[in-house]
Amino acid sequence: MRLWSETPEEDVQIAAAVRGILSPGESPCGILRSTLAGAQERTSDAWLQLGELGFLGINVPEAHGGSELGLRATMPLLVEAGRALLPVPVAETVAVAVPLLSAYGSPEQQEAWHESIARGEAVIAIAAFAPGRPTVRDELPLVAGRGGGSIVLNGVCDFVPYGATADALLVLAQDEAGGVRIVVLPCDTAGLGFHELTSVDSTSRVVRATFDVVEVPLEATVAADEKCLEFVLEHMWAALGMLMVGAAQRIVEMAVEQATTRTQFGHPIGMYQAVKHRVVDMWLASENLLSLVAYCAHGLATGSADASRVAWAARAYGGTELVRIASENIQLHGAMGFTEELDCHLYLKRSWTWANYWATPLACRSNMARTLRDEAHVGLW
Amino acid sequence: MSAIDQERDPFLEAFLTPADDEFRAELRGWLAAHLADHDPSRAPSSPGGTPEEDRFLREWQGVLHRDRWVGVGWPVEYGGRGASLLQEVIYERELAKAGAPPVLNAVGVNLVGPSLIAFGTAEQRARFLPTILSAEEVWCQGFSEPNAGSDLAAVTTKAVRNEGGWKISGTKIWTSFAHIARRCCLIARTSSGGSKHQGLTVFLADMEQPAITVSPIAALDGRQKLNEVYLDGAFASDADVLGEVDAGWSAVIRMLSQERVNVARLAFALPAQVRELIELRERLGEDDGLALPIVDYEIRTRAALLTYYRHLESQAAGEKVGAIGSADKLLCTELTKVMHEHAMKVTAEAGALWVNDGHRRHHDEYLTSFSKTIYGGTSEIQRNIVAERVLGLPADPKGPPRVATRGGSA
Repeated sequence: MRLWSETPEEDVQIAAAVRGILSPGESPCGILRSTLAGAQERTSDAWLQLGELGFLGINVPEAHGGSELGLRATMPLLVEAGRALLPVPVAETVAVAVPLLSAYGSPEQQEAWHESIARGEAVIAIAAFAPGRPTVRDELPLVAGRGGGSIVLNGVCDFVPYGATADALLVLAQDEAGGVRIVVLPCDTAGLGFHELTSVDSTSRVVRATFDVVEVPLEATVAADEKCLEFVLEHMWAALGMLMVGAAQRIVEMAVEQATTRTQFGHPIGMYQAVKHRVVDMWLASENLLSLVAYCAHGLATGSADASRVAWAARAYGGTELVRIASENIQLHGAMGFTEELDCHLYLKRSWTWANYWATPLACRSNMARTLRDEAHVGLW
Repeated sequence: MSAIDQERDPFLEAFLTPADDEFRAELRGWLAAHLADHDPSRAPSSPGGTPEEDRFLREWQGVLHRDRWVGVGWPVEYGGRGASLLQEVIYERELAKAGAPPVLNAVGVNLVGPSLIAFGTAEQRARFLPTILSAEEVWCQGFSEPNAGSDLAAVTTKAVRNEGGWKISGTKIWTSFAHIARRCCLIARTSSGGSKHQGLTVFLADMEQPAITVSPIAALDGRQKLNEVYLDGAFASDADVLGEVDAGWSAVIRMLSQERVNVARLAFALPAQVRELIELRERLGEDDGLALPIVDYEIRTRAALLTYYRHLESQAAGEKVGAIGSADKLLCTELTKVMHEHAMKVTAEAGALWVNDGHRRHHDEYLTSFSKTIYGGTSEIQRNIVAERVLGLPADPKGPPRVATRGGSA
């Protein structure tokens, strides 16, 4: 089973088609650069095109115009989006919102959101983090109070990627009973404010979302269940891994291209082992990441005993390795690698966001270390 | 520590057919029956230890052979089971999980035998195959020479025409098991004048002749495995040529490509190593600082195995594997080495660097681990292979070096 996929031939076709839309030129970062320069059109157009061709409905139920394939089937789309460093909350929309609504949402909610997501008309961001680190801690920063037939949200959420250009927010809030309540609301709901945050990653439009007595109907609740946070985490991690695979593969491509075409002293620099071997090590890292991520998606879908442990492993590995190979890539490009003209810096900067969003590499490893005795063996011995 | 999960290899499940399941079940049953009293920590983990250990391994191969559990990938007519590539991998996986002792005649079973089957003569097959499987005739591989290691085609051992055959003279080095081998599969130069890859021939030589002397090499791990082999006019008949005369280089390439599961053993040894590190840390006091590296090794082990299976699938689909196998070998050997080193660190932290019996094995295996990234193609060569054949990077500069000038720089 190619890369643990149920649809290996379709994967190849989807990837090629998506690449044609997102990365038509030599540099896959054309759409990103256009957004960074202030123009949203290329991004919106590309997203609509993806919708028209059905790629945003891969895991949307057939009843709502999708293909109803699972999480693993979204991999070609996410890998290509990662390659292009697409400035859209792809993971949040496709890999979290859609399945969350399918698993927990009411028929009305699915009706309201599935089709427009599939058509490329609705993009969803997620608000979950207290100011500081973009990871879920014990207490969520948003409080969901009840007032009559409504929910009232108060608080501040940091680190909402693309919150300002999204159509809706999936909000993880702490409800009065102490549990998690996930709510979906349009971004133009009264009381919602967005303020841009600056970061080393200038490629992600990350905002602070302020909730000042934001009132939403009770029916805006998607889930209020013990398991829903875990559901979000699992799906988010799997999707982040896929984005990182796309980026990693592009980084290796750039490194190979550089080593093959840059000549000095009469020879391509890749002729020398010092350069050649570093490129191989970058490739090995991207191969390993691909294996972990593909298997993780498959394992989650099939309920494999080792899926969770592999998800942690993929998250930890991807986090450190992507930053590392993005750094190596700059070094291999010499002085040009230090410029904004080449794409190297874009991948480096985005890699910090992906590495630390929803979990940090150290936190993952520490957690895996704590559970060595109970979990390390699963699927291995 | 949980009991060993015999039932599932989740990442393998996606690839298995019902026939594979049956094969696996039969093998598990056989291993359970024949290894019931076996303690892996007390048995030799590789050949080339003491004479007693080698005797034990020879017997073990005999036990496997009796029930046709050695050479499973060989065709049935030659004593094998006609196992598919995946079944050969299952075989390695199950033996690793059961902590089974290694196969003594690995060179014969995995390298020479399959080559004879693929492109040897009928007479060679009849003469050599049965005794390979029974371990009655142990084989060694005479390839490397003092001046021809990574650059194997630079061999200078010469074979000169003699009545009915050839007289071979030269020195081979790093010849594993030459001290117990009956036969040697070696490369020698039979003609010169072309490029260094032309004019080589592979011979199936009889080690029991006075013209061949074996001299043990003292390796840093204290194991008696490596030897120098001196050939002083050693005789090989025309019937002992494997493939064509002067076409030895392509015979070598074919030989090396016949070995389908050479990385499997390396890959499947990794989980047990991770487990040992966890147990070692628990035994010696649960220092937090020692846990995080183990997590890293667990992650890399999972990655290496998953990558190995992915590559295996391409191989099973008939894609050419050579270069991808280099990637797997690289990942697995470097990982095993760094894990052995970690075991050393742990024992050193616990004040067990000066040996007490409980940690002797860790020290020994750590020392042996240095050979893993050297034999079978060094890590540097493997990286070159991946770079050039997978990534399309330019080959190393060949030819005479530019002379560097000493002293004074810009």
